[in-house]
Amino acid sequence: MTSRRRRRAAVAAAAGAVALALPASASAHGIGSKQPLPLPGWLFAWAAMVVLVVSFIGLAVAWSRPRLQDVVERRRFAVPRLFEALAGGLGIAAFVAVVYAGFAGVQVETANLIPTVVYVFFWVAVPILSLLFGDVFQAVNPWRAVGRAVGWAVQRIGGPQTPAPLAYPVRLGHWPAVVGIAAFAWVELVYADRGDPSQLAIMALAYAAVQLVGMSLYGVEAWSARGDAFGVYFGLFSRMSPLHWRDRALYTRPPLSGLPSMPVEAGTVALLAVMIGTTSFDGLSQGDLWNTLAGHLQDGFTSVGLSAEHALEAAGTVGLLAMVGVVGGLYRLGIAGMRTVGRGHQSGELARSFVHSLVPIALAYVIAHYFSLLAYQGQAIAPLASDPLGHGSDLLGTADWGISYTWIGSRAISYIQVAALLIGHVAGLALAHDRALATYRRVREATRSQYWMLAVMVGFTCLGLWLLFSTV
Amino acid sequence: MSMYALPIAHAGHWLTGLLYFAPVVVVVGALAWQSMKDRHADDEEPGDVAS
Repeated sequence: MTSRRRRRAAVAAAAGAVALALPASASAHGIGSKQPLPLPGWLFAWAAMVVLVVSFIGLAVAWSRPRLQDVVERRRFAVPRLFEALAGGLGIAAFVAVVYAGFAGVQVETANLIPTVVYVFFWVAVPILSLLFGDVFQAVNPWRAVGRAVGWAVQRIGGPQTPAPLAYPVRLGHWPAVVGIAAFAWVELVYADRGDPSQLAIMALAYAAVQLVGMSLYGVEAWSARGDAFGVYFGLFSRMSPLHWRDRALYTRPPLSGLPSMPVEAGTVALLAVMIGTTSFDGLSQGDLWNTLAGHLQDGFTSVGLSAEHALEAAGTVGLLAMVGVVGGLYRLGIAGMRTVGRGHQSGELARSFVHSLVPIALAYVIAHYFSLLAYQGQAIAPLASDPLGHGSDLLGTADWGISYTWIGSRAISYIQVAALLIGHVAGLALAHDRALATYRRVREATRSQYWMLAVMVGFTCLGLWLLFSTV
Repeated sequence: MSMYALPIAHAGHWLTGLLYFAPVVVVVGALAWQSMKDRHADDEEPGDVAS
């Protein structure tokens, strides 16, 4: 068979597999997370396996040289310096307003602005916006804006006498971001008072203070690129976007092409494990299996003297860390398999080299687990922004807007969840394949090394679907 | 219901859960078999190099 016919066959097979992955509309309805399904949820896992295997074959046949390692970006237009200052000012104003609402507003989770802004808009909407429009958070990052403003003022006053910031320690790498994301996930998923507006406001201020200290020690850009957990988090997702903002100018590039060049530092692998693992725990924590396990763990912790509330938090902490460990372990297994192919590749080198392929999976998990939250609770932004303190004001005329639960059905949400998981894992597979072609001397070795990444991707996909749709 | 009957009573539940991960077993098995085949394959012809 000629290579062109093989490529056509691979594309046709992939299209057929995608069609198989979607259930017929006549037989499927009301599919959603943790709800009785008319269509077996495990069938999606088998369909996903077919899609990933066919995608792997398609990549092996049709993608025989690296395409994403060195990509040329095209400059489109620049924005004036004033725009940068205005965006930063907007971010600072929004941060101050939200924190103020947390302290001064009614202390009820559903009536105060800050919980919805933090857990829905900040944690779910911004990653999606980053995928679509590039690193939008960097433009409005409030603590970075304050750091840059203070740095500019200090330079103007001190002139050449201003001491240079310390060199950012290489060993520190992304570890501050690991701690920041893990801490946020703990607050979101485990902390008993996660919805308390004033507690959230205190934590927001504490986080901002840490950022200002870090920036003053190591410089604004050096810290923001490594130590600012949310800056790093959103920045990773923005690397998948075809839009790239750099030096106040907009560049365009092929989708995903920003990832191969992402800086891999100490702690980057741990960061991706935390990102995927914590979202996985969100799914696990809603199932009967976890309810049973948590009960046993809680009993154990109360027997050593913890209160019921703290015992439950301790149990949640164990579960959270366990899921991070499972995700990290799966990735390490795949790397161990890759190491058996070819010669001269160390596990650490391979783990760092292929870690960028986990970023689409991390975003896929965010969308799969939180899209319904954004679709429904996200609408509450309108009335809450109009009455941010919950005292009966109507600043924007939207205070009486309600939440529509019918604008998107549960079946559509389930399709979006499955599609996000599939697309994310196929993207991860493509990134890993492209990197393998650049890493291994022979195409055959590169393809064989990706057997293991295929197994990892199938594993992550099945895990994601099990977390979403299993009733166990 | 006795404590010993509970695992049996929930066996269907657990088996359904295992079905989610059966594709992983299938893929790993198939890839392990393919890897063994690759190792035994004659590599006499020069491998094509990624450009």
